[in-house]
Amino acid sequence: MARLGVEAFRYAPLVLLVIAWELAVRYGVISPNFLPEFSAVAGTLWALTLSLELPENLGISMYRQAAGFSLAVVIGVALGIGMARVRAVELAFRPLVTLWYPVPVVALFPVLVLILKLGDQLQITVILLGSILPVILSAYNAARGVDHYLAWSALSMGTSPERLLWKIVLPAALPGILSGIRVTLALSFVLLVASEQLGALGGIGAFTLSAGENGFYTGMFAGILTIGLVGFVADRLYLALIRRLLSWRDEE
Amino acid sequence: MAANALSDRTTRQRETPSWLAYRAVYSVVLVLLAWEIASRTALINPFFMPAPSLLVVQAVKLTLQGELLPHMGATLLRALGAILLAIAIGVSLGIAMARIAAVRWFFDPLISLGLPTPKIALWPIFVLWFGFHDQSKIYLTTFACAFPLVSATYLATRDVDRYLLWSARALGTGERRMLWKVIFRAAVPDILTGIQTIIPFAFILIVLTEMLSGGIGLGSMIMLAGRLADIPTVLVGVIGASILGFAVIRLGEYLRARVLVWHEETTDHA
Repeated sequence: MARLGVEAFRYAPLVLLVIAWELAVRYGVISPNFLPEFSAVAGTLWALTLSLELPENLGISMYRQAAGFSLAVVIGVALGIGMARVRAVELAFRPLVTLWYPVPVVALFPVLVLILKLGDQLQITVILLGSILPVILSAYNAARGVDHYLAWSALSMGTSPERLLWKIVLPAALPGILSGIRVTLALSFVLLVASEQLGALGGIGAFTLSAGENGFYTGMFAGILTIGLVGFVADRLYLALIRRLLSWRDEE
Repeated sequence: MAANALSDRTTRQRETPSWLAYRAVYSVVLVLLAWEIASRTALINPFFMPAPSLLVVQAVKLTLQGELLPHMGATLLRALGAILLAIAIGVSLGIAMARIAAVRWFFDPLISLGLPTPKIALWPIFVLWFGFHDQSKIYLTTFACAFPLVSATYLATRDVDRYLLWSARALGTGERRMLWKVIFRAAVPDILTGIQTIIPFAFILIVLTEMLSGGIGLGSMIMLAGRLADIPTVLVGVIGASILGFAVIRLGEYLRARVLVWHEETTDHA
């Protein structure tokens, strides 16, 4: 119970803010044309959930996010470790990564639309291209940082190169890789919403933008609250996953 | 995502021999050359990936027509404005959170809730509140960049070496002097890292909001050219935005070295 009290005290500012929002609009401090009452937004959120409009768009978006993000993680980790361990891979990809680094990928959206046309593949590609770099860089740096003595000892005791990768390099590089993936997770949501606002067939970002353009402001706020909540929950779930994956380490 | 791309910048400065730097330039030239040949021989679709030489020609043409620099200028000014605003708000709020319990109590849940959520989702709200022009773009970017900066400043200020504080207090430093002369100085390197981290984000967000709204700016130019299937202009715009971001990142590194002249990080390899 004491813990519950602490948590309640901790999150009280959020509740206060919502109450202030509700009262400020209700008593005319802020015009409802600028900010609909919180209760009205909550009502719309409920109605849109029951009518399945919100869950359907959210489902479309989550499919795109999951696909783009997983591809970025798998390809990024493979490339990063490859660049760190195999000289030819580094020579081939380092200049590409250097060139790619400062490019704002969302700005390539108009070209990608022309190549890929509207559809899930468009959003997935934007997420993949735009969020892969932090994974590559953290995997590269982490795999390079793996203690040489660790690798040498394993090799001298007869570990095969393949076993070395799975049993030594990957576990030793894991903490660094996981923190890079957290950045990519947050980035993937930004890219998802941005690319859906720029042009998409359905999805929560497109829904929110068109609600705003049509003056359906309670729907717009409901959509934005949903996006924020999903991003936050994804981050918390990821942190919990990291803690489990790294529970074998003695530090922390 | 900071300026340290493939290796930690300070160690790179110390350890990288100059021939390696030249090799990096060569490999970039090699990539451009491969792109040029592949595009010219139609190995890759020249419509979607026009040769780099054609992009240079297009950039010169747009500049002479007066259609590139005004867009770049608008994007640069908006991004700089948003970065400066974010620094003003983020650093002062971060320090206040570290020093004042009530401020920390109020903002801590808001920051931890807001940090991992995609702020670009708020774009329709900012349009509703601030219209389609400079304000909505700059404010949304400021808002999005403030979160990581508040967090970086808060952690940097909170974690100032306690022995440093005790020594200063034992030597008779007053509370106000302490904030400015000891805490702020000790936290500056990490705060600067936080500022350097938001620079690329600021440029991406400004270009993105320009793409969503039209008018002047590289993002609007890119979107308009995209609708006309004018890919060379799109790519010139993307490269222009990359160059702006890169230049400001470099400016940040230069200013960091100037500001931290007194710090070991700078004096070590002088």
